[in-house]
Amino acid sequence: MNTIIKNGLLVLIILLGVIPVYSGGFQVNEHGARATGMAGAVYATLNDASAVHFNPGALSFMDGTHIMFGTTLIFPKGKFRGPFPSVDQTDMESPMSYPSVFYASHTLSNGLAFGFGMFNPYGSGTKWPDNWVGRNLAMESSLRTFFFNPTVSYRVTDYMGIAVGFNYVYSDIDLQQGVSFEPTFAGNGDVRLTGSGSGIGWNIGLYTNITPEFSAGLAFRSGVGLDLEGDAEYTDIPRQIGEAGLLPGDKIEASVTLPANLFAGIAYTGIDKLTIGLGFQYVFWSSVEEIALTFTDTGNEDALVFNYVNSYIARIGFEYQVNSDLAVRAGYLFDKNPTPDEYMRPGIPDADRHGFTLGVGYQINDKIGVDFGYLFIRFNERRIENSNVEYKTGARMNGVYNVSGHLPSINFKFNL
Amino acid sequence: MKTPKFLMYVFLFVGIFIFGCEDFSEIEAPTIDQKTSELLASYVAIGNSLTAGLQSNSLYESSQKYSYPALIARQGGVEDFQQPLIQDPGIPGRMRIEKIDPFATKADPPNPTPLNATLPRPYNNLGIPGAILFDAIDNEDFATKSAQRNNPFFHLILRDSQLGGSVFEQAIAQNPTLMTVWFGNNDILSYATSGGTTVLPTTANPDLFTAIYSQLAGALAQTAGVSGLKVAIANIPDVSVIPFVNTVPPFIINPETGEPVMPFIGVTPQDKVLLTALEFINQGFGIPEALGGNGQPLPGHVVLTVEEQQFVADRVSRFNQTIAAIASQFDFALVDIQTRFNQIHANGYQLGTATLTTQFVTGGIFSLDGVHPTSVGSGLIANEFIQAINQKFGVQIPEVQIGTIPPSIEFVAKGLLTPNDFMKLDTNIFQDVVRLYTTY
Repeated sequence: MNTIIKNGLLVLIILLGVIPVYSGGFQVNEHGARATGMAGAVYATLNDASAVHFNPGALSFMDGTHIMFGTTLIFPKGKFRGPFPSVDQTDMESPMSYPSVFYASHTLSNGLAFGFGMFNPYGSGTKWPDNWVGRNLAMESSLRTFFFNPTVSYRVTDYMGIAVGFNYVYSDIDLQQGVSFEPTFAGNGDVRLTGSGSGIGWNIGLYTNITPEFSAGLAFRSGVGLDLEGDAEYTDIPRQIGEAGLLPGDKIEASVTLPANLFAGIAYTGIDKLTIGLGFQYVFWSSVEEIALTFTDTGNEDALVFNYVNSYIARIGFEYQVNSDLAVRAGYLFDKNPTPDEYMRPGIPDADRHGFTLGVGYQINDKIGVDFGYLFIRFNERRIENSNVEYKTGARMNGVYNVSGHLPSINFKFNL
Repeated sequence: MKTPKFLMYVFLFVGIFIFGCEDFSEIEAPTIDQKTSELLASYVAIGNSLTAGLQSNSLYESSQKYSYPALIARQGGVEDFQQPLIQDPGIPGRMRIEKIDPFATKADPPNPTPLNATLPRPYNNLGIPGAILFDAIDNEDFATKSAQRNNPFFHLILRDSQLGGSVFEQAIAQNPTLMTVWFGNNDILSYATSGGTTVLPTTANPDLFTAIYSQLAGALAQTAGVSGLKVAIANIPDVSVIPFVNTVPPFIINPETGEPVMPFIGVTPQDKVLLTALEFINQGFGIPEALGGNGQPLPGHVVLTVEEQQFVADRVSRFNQTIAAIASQFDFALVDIQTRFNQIHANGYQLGTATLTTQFVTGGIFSLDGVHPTSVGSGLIANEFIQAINQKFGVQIPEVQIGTIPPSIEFVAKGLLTPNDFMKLDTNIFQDVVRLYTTY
């Protein structure tokens, strides 16, 4: 069997086609409705427990106990036209996904703070019609990651706080796609790969009040190596292929390194009732060269090549305090995509993207507040002419992708 | 207060603008230029089974859709390219794989249901399985001929002499602007596939071949002089590239070691053992009694001896000289299939991450009968025609993207297996079709 695959006599197209839509590659940056309303430019502002994620160094400047939880609903929309020379259009079916957050923090009067966060910074899902032209690359793809992040922050001086944290990461995937036996045998089947695994990482943060009007935040989150284990289930495969043992295997191990992130931001509060935030996020995507796959029962190996390049997200956000209870927010972000044209896959349609955000925050009483955020994200049209990704043996996935998404979010916060 | 409100409006405005504006740009499929369209305004192909699109020993709709003339027409944007379609699994019934190990095929029962029989004009694809060169100009009654030759296709494809009394006449009746002509294969092939035991038709004599081809070409040239018809003619591939003669080694193979033990009885190491030898080998022919065989030599009709190979090669060479001379004399495009298939036979054809070869079944180019190409192989042939036509006539027919052609080697039935079934299967098999064939 190995011989056959090596010789290319029988090419089984079993490729993971991971996912998402909302940030470059398969990152999700929606970690709180207030932050969403300000396009995520909150690395240097503080007033809620989502600081655990965005600027843990600021936790030491808060007081008392804060709890926050919420979710973002992601409604993706996508089209593919191609593969060239065909210009036939396929509409992505749009499964909703809902990355969610939970944060808690407690700050002691001596400037020592403890925080805990749970959030989903990578993942989400895409679904293409079962019989579409790219079925061997992606039908339904779902990737989820859950970060569990305890952190400790300490106010070193009156104007600076630092933080360090630990991350336990659990991830699961569920990928369904077509299998074919090109270029020789007719027939199609399906394969479903399911798996889960975990990894660990760390993070550090720094927050400073430079002047009463200016603050700055800096945070770093390490890369996370994930080892996943799971199963491959084949359906509708021609009997003869199965009898001859020509499928790659039933048990799968895969590994991938989630990228490290650097966050930097400043905030200016010098204008009456207005907070202006600037943020810059640098994503070390080059750690995602490939997802290596091993079929442990047969020893076959495969790899999904991504060859991502490092990229960034630039953010600007505004918050206007209408009165003591009501705040309104707006923002804009530009997200540079990490995916080279050659390696773009329909499971993760990607492009440089523009995000426009609006938000409202309302303090119901002393202790309870609620935030609403809305992000509309628009991908630049992506035209791929030099793909290395084959949807069938010898046929490349060149075409035009158009993607956009609506992401409403809500969170509740409690100051105890 | 003014500043933030203003900013809000700006963001709202920009957001609504971006959200509201046209979601994506128009893109269009490439179009065919006028000169190319004019050349293909009326395209007619004449030839034999290769032109008809026969594969896996049957002429059936799914294979005909990928005949090289159909592919050329599709690439050239021809909308009304008519073929004598026969419902799957066709005549005499397509072969499919029943089992991979040991390798076994099964022919479907014939389904001689024509799908396009009422077309009130001749077909654009006049390829007739079994036709030799002489059949292009032969005016024999079609029904009579089908009966005499025990070949239903003359009658099925040419139908009615009202449409034209011969292949040539039915082609010319369509006022063709482009004709492709590919004859000659069958003038030698039956000799080769029968291990040199078939008596060749008298018209397959090289001098008669030249005379008949000259007559056909002269008539085409005469039409061309009046109507501007363009003609492309293809030469014939060496028989030595087809899996039918290349799959079974002349040696008895030790199934334990995979090593050759000795030549089959009555076979020299230079002889070619044909696919038809398999049923005899399975019965013990060619194998000494000491090795479990019956001690009888392989019959002559399943072995192509060195002398017979030489005879075939000489004929192919002479036919191709004739074809080249005629192309040159009448200013036809020459499609050099012989050279192309020799290249592919030697080096394979790189298709993305896979290498297509002339190996039986697994190579991807030849169908289960070991002689006729798969749909993918048909695409390679179409591209040779397209290149020659583009070059000779200064047109731009886009080449076929080979990777987009669906594989055409089929399995007998689709069965559902559960993951548990796969766990029980032996994965260390199907090393090599040749070994399977010679294991006894």
